Amino acid sequence: MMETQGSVNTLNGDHRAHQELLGAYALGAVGQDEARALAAHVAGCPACRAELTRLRFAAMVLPLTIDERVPPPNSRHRLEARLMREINGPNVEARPASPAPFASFDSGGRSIPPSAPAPPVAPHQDASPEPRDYPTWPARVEPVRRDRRDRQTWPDWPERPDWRAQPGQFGQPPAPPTPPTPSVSSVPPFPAWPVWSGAAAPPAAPPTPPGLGPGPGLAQGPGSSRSRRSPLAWITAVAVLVLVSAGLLVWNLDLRRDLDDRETAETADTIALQAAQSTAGARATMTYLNEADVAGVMVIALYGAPPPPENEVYQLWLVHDSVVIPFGIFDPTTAQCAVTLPDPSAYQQLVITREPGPFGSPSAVGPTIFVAPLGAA
Amino acid sequence: MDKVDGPDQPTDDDLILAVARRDPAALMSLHDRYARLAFGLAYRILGEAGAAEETVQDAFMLVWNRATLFDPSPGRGQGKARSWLMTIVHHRAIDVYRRRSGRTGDSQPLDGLEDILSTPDIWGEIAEGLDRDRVRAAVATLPPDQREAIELAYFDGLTHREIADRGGTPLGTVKGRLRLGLRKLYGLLAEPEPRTAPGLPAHSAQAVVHPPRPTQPAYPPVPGAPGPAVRPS
Repeated sequence: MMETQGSVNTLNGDHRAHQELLGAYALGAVGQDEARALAAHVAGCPACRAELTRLRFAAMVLPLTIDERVPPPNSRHRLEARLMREINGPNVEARPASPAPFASFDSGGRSIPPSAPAPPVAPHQDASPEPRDYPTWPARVEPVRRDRRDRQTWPDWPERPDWRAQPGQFGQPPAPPTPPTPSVSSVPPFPAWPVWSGAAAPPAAPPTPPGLGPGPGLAQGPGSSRSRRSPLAWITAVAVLVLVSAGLLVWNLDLRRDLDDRETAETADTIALQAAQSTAGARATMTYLNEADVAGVMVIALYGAPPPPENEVYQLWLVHDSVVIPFGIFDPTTAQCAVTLPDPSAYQQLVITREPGPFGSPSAVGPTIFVAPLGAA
Repeated sequence: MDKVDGPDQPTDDDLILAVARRDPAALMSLHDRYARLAFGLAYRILGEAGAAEETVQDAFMLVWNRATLFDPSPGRGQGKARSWLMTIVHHRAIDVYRRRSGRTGDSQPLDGLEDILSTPDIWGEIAEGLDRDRVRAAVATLPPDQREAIELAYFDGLTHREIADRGGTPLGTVKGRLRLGLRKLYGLLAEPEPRTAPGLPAHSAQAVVHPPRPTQPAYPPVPGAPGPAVRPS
């Protein structure tokens, strides 16, 4: 009898101890051992289970006491890209090539049955009529029009030789000594803004046009030797060389005209930023998005820089009144960063640094990759 | 914030069920509706925009992969889907916060999220039409010590022992504040008409008024937390 009473008291004591912890448990505020013990107790105690249900309900409404906050302007695009990678695999950035075989919603929010051919995913068409005060990504998948040299995917990160004349090269004046840059804010601002890329279009490396490659007459076969060549063979070789050179010249001029036309028509909204400081040939462009629904949004694209090491990211900063302001993280898959920037000339500099990932750094402490002056000197 | 915006608009439940059928457009629509609330919650916990954005994206990807756990029955209260989503965001943000602060050792594991999300009797308690003003008013009626303890646990990710250590308060007192505060909150919110809630003292029911929406959040930002970058006009 005494033993039974003692067991009941022990059970009641455990119950009370567990019951006292239910509030902390509902809020996720107990230790691991306590959580395991409570879970085991609640599973066999209807009273505690019922109370825990009520307490969890109270905890779940707490987010409603928080003020809403507008997320960064590129967050929707980043989620969309991440979702597409999840669906299509890591190497696919665009939307699904074929309509999804599941139900979707049209722009009016009407459900389309799974049996009907679903339209392509159109996440930029907001199904919600609630006005959004943050911009959405433009409808097209590739918002930044790049010149031909730069149409490459980020993961490849091929190092290409810089097409621009380097200091001391091609008659350029030697570069002045680069001042040390202990911090981004100390980089002297440059007043030049903007610098249009169209005026300095990179000359494409002349690829070999089809049909104009070295002919067999120029190749030295296994048994060929200089002493065996007749004068006729030399004349023939020189003639072929002249023809090839002439063909290359005509083809290259035509290609340049074609590139100039395309750049004038397609990349009129993209400017190349003039680097005041660049590491490892890093370059950057700034693209205005002309669509009405994304007015004021710009896309900064980084080229030529090596891929950031694991656990690091490239981060964008703008300098205003010598204050370095964090503006965003470069998407690791596209090397782009979209920002809301109605008036870039209000800032002194654009700076790209490498910071700890995946969230970047609240202040620019990592190595400087690229610095470009903006309008406010 | 009721998100049934029109007869032709899908409800939140519709969207989550469509997400469960692997409809990416439905997930993006859900993001359009709740990105600001989710980002506000994550920012309140983490105090940093980049981490908050990443947390929200992680949460929506978790929705993408766990939407089959959502149980829309009974009723079609919009607060249900919203609370479901915010619970995911909260768990994710606290998890990130604890990892970043190196306090994962003795904290309650949050890997039981799926159990919580898939337990229908929890979500069946969500009252339809529960709005922000009513929740804020209810929280405002809590005694300050209970409200502070709940805030430290929910938004700062502290365990009840850490709360006790921080304030020099006996452990039993902290446990009581957390439990009593949540019980009172439930009593104020669970019933459609708070003044008729059974089991509540008369003064508690009468204290439930609906003042104008405060201009400041019920929970002020963490002191010292970095604010958003102020961009010059």
